[in-house]
Amino acid sequence: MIVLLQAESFTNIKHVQDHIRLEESYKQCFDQYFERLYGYSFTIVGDNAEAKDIVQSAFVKLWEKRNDMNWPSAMQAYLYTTVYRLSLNAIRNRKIREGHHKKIVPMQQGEERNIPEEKEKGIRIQRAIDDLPPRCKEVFYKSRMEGKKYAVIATELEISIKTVEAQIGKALKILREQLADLIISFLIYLIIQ
Amino acid sequence: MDAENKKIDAELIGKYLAGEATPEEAMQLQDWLADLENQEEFEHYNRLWNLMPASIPATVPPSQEVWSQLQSNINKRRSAPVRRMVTRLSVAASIIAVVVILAIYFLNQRNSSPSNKDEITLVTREAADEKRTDTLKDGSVITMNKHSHISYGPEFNNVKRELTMSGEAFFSVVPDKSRPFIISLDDLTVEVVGTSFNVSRFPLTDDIEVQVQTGIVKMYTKANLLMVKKGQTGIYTRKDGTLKLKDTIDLNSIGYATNSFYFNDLSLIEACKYLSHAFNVDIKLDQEKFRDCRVTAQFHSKSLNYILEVINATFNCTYKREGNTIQIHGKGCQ
Repeated sequence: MIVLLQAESFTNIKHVQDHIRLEESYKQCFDQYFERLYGYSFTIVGDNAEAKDIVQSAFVKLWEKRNDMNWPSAMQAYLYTTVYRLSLNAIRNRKIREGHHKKIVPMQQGEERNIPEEKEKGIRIQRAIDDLPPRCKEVFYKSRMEGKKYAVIATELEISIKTVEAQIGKALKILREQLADLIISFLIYLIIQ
Repeated sequence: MDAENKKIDAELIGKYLAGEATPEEAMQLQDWLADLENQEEFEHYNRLWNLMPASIPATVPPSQEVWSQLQSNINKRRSAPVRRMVTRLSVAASIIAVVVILAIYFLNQRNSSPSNKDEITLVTREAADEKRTDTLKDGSVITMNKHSHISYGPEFNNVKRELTMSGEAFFSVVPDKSRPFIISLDDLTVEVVGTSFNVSRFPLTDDIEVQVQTGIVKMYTKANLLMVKKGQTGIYTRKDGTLKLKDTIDLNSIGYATNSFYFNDLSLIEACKYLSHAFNVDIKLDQEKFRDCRVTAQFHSKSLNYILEVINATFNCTYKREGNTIQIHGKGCQ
């Protein structure tokens, strides 16, 4: 742990207690925020390896900024903002699959799954999506299946971003009710695992 | 934060899951998730999101693994300037005389002398599982053996160069008469006087040994003073506070820092102890079979593999390495 104390710049700080406190709060901060930031980055980039790199970079930056920062109160905001910025950069730099802003693996519904139960489940999910109100379905489909940014969807459908947000929220509420049993059984399945 | 009072609902959760949440919204959601009931609600939406056919699930890597990588990333960024400094120093080394000190010292107690209490703040440099070499502000180079650290205050190099340490370290001290180089070890002080190579050593017993290669080192307590010169070893016994002088030094014990070994009709078992110490490994061999094997060789800047190959060829044996353990097999010298 003390490995982190080797920086030459440390000789500028007046009290050892500060170093130790700084180091401890850095580790605490990592423990507290690592998973959350990972989850947040993943929602944007949709890629596990990228999310990991981004969160790591954000923590390295945080360490480099340790002397300029109101520590620890500013850490959370700094980390979230940095992860956000790095995640947006990552999808901007991603040249694979034009038009796809988030990594999405297109999968033929149900067909690639051999287990009959899975197939049936897939059909049910598809039907639930199909049963959404037309606008709602369209917005949801573009966001979830095509991985399009809200701004892109808004432009394509000539609606406001606010409307996109509302439609997605509506779709989720409906689907949650329609597929409640699947969600629960999925949760139970996870718990058993 | 304009979203501060915004309610968390399906809309915001959807926004988050779709990767559209601003940092403020994400933080707000995280705060909301502190509540277990909310966690359940979020989990439902999250599962729903992942039920969709196009889904790649997030798999959070083990945080301990990421933490280790993070540490090594931070250290890597730092090592570049350090390496440059060392290179610059090695050029300078031909001009300036250098003092070398080696110390083994096991210190559980912090500096207990009251006069030092306010003065000594502890910037720490530590070698964890592997030895490491560092350059201090004054240009002095320190090689710390594993499980060792040195600490010094921010005023280091102002009036004097004072530090404390635990474990074992090898100092190449840049001479500067106006700023004495001092190692404070509780009751004992080790001060570099001359401008040449010195070695000091502090063994497991909490006693302190100072080995001097060339030059002069002063060891003193409140009651005693000892000048240790080239080729001598000064020994401090903590129990009774005495200082003793020995007229020999053990160069092989500092092989980890000097990369030099002088085996002069030495028992192979002893030689392997020195090598184990220097290379941070555990070399094992049959004590009975190899008891009478003796080795005469000098190695300078050679790898452990090279040295082991020489031993193999000399004693017609083989070795097998597993992690940090090296087992030497052979008939020995009976």
